[in-house]
Amino acid sequence: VINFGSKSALLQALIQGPSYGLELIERIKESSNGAIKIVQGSVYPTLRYMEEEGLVESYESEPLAIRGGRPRVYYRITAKGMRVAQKEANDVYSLLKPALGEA
Amino acid sequence: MIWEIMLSILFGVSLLLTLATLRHLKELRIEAENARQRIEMLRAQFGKTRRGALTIGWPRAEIIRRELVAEEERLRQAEKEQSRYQVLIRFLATEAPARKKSALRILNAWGAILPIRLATEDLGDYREDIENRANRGERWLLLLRVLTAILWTGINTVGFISKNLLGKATQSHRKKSPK
Repeated sequence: VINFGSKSALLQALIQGPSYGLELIERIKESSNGAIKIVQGSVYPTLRYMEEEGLVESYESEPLAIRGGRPRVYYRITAKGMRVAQKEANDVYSLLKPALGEA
Repeated sequence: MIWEIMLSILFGVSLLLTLATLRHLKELRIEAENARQRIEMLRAQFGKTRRGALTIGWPRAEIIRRELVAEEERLRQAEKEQSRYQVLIRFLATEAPARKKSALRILNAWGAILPIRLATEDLGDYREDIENRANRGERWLLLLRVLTAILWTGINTVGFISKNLLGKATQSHRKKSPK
């Protein structure tokens, strides 16, 4: 079953390196040429869900003045997350092969 | 699910009320300005009519005087109603730094009642976004961002607390950054 939603998009974006909500939204927007836009309010619930699944793990940065003295919470992909991301990418690629003229 | 629907409805109603209030305020401002211009014109006419009363006649002067009284009353009413929205008018008239300060004050108060993780992650991002927008001078979007932040963090809090009650929430975000 191919289920490519915001979870998959976040996972693919995290392959590029650890990041936090706002930066991940921008990263996905840029990587997809603006075609995929993630709603800001849904990013962290999805990341927390992915953390429970063991696909990502989080850590805090130093407190920042721009965030009112609170730290940023960065997420990075785990080995399990990487396997899932690669499988999803392969599945989507197989699906898109005819459209790409590679069937 | 029911909470999400209720919060969405609440947000929608608040947004509609805000838009309706802004529209009403705009109408009031236009009405007051029109009344002021008309009063100025009528005063000038009334002065001329009194001076030329012998040629124009007092009935004309009386009509203008009545119109003047009516316009002055209209202006008084518009100004009185406008004064009821002083807080909102002051907020709309403020510059980006002052508005940012108000927006952050609201978010700080809201953050105090949110679970720490949501206040750090979700609300922290909204706060950072508001700071960036204010620095770019986007003062009109700040209020909307505050409303969006309150809506989404409210919805996420309901989900987060429900999950915590079921004992599924994770604590691994407490890990410190790798050196």
